[in-house]
Amino acid sequence: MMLRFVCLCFAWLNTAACVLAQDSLKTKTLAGVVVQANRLAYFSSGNKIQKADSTTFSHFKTNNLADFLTNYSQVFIKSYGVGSLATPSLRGTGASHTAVLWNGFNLQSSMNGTVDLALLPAFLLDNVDIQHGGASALFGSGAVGGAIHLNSSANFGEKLSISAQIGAGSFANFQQGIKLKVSKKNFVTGVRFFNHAAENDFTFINTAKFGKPIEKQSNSAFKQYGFLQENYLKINEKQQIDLQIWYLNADRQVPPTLTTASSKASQQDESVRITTNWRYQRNKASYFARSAFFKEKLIYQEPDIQLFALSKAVTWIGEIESKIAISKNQLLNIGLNHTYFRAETDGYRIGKLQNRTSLFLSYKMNNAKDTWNTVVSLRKELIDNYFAPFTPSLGFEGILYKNWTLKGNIAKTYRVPTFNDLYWQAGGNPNLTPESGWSSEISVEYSPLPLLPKRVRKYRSNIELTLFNSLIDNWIAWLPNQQGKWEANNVLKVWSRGLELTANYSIDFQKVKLKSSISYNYVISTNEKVGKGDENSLHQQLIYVPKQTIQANISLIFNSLQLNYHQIFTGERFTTADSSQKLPFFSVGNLSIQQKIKSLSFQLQINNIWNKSYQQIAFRPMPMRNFMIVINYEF
Amino acid sequence: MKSNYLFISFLAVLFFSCSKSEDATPTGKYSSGVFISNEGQFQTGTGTVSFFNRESKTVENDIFQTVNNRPLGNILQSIEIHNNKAYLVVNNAKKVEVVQAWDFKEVGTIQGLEMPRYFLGIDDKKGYISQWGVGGIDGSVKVIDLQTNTVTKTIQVGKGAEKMLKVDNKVFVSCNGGFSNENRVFVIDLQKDEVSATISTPDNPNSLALDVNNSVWVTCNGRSQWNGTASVTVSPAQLIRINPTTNQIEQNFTFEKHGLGSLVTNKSKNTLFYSYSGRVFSQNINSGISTNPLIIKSFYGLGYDAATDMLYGAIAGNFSTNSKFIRFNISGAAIDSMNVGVAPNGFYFK
Repeated sequence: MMLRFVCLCFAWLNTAACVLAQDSLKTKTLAGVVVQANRLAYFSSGNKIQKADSTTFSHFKTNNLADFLTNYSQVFIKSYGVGSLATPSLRGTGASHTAVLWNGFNLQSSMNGTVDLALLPAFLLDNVDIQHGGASALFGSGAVGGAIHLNSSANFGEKLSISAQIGAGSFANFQQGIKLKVSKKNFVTGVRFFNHAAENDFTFINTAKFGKPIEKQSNSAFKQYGFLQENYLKINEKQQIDLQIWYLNADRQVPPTLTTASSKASQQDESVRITTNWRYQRNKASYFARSAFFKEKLIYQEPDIQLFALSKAVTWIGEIESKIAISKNQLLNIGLNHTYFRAETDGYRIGKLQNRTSLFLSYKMNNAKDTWNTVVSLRKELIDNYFAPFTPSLGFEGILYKNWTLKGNIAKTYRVPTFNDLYWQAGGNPNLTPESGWSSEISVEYSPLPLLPKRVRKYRSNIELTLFNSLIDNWIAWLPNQQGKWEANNVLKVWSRGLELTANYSIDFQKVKLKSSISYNYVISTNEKVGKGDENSLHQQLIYVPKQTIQANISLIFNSLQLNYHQIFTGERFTTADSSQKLPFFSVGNLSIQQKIKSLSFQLQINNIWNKSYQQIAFRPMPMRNFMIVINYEF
Repeated sequence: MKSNYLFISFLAVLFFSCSKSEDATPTGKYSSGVFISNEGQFQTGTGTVSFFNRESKTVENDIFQTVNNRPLGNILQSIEIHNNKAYLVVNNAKKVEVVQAWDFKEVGTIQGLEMPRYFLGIDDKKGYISQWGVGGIDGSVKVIDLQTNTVTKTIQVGKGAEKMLKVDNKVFVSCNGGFSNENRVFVIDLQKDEVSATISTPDNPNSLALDVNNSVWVTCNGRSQWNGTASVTVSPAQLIRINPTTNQIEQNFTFEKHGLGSLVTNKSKNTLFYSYSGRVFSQNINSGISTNPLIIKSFYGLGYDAATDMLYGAIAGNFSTNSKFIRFNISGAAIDSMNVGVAPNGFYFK
């Protein structure tokens, strides 16, 4: 059965059937789309995975990935303000501990290990899957707290589609987007352009100034534009090749904090990302060859301190992989990845290079009925001339009893030191070793299926509880050494543990559809080993990791009218490692109303609807209630 | 109309409090003790002021926030008290917060500054603020009207205008180079608010002290360069003595390497204390450089408490969590230590 499905999958180029078959335990489906056959779908057994469907994603089309994740996921986003730097934190880990993969390729910067989620416009993305927990064996360095998978997708054999969208909002926020797609039987090509600019000069109370005056945010404008060009070609029944080209240009001012007087700082980002993917399907095996080329440029300027810092980075990734069906219920995956990094910055003007080669292997076994499966994965990575820790993982998932499912995973995790950590002058330390640790989790899910009245067309509800525990040793931190000079060292050991509780409820009547979800997260992430002189931070919660967060969403669709409401609650966060300073709890609600009239759709977004004053980062004000109107036209 | 009344009553209160302060020195919680300036976390943090009570040996942290219910601002560089007012120089916030020295209640803010460093009170009406200026290379001294807390004049001096020392009717300004290098001490005529002389010194003079003979001592940091792996000395540190009447350098001590600063004197002003190469040394004004350090420890700030004859050393720690200062007797033995805010850099003894 299984094999047949696998074959079907590739023959039909991974259409929905494949996702259905492979994810027989996961009830969510992505109907009618071609999904990249990545390791996430097949070999991530036991991890908690959250998939964002297209209806959920659709009303975030004018936002960036950071906005979406803030409202919809359990990924905690540390945002410096609207459009400003935003980094993820999953399960109490740091900004460089969540891998962000685009079409399977890691976007984490070789220089600082992070991905700025504010530079990933939702307009260019189709699917977002969030994998919680360690996934280094599958996805390599950096997938410690989890991984965010971004994919664009294409449907063959559809007609020409063109859509255009314009949006206007508070604080001179304007955006335009256009999508064009030609879909033939064997060929899909599409292009999307977008442009976004905002003055972002919102007013706020400056609680840090004499007399607490009302001020307008200054030096906070930004503009972004870019395009994504995609091509998918079926060479024959057995082969497909695709190519994506993504260009992005962003120019952002960096606003002052409440405690600084003014700012003239700005940041310019430019990137070109090209990925290509070839696959070949034979009877019992399928082969993949993929390659990616990323070129990034970043300029950070701060005239007040005569700073003009140019950073440039190039990444080449080549990967070959084969998936072999050994028997009806055994699947083997074996692959080889080679990545070349080159980067230069102010800290190391002579460009630095790194070559990484990794061999990875996964073995999946399931029972005859495919109600249980278990996956063992291994990875060994060579970084220039030393090996990263051997990285195994073991996961399982299955139906426990009727509507109860159980899954669990234990995985070794690691993160290779960044170029800045290794080479930055002064303080970079070429003798750093990779961070490494273990991550484990167990989840129980209950999906009740009550007797439903006839007028209910679709129903889905589930509740899932996950317990996790992870340890990261040799955590790299920059601290002053005995001579008072800053230096990167493998000093910390971080223990993160907690629980995630998620409940979903959706019901479709003939005219009304209701969808709702609520998540509660409890994360204790503490320093268990600290450097000399840092004893005050021992056993303290990591900075900017809230112990408690809640995300609640409800959406109501009535004919062509759609209402979405999100409310997030973020508990207090310490801003110093010794827990001596903290930011208070905040809660923000966002409402969006969408009305379709024939080919037109109108959307009104009301952000921060309860007009709350809050800070995500200390002394960085966030806008009060604000509005956005989006008009979309489908030709 | 109503607002007019309010305004008048506000003025009346102001006038009343002013006249009161002129009559007698008011007293409050912070009348006697040591103020510690804590720079705070860089970028997103706020500077804080800690208050150390010598009698109870207790520290109260973040007194500005406690009293005024707002953060002080990013990077507190220094604290100076003049005419019963404390002037808190907040570098990255480009301002000086003015509070009543006895209870720390806010009374105003001096703005229009660029990377301000230190405050010096001249008389009842006038004060000076040294600043690095735009890009950290446009050093100047801002003349402040202390009644209105506004800048009335800018006196251009060398790069990295830093510490100021008043000697009779002159003010000596050490210019430590800011984000560049400088080799001059500027002399300002405090009646005219003009530069009256410049004194060529070794590289990057950074701190000043007056001795018992009314001579001005200056620590010159020297100059270093980053060679790719370490910072190497281009010109060594020097300690110089200037005659404030003639503006001549009368004595000069040269060290091996760069890295000299934080000059303070004892109560009788015949012993100098300074930091050099991660250690603290003491030197009698009539003798040469000592080869034996007084304290083998690196401090981010150094102070001498004349009231107790103790040396205070601030430990910056990791610049991101609360740190401490250590008290030493004059022979360099540690007495005790107190926990203060993030990155303590200096003291004001009252």
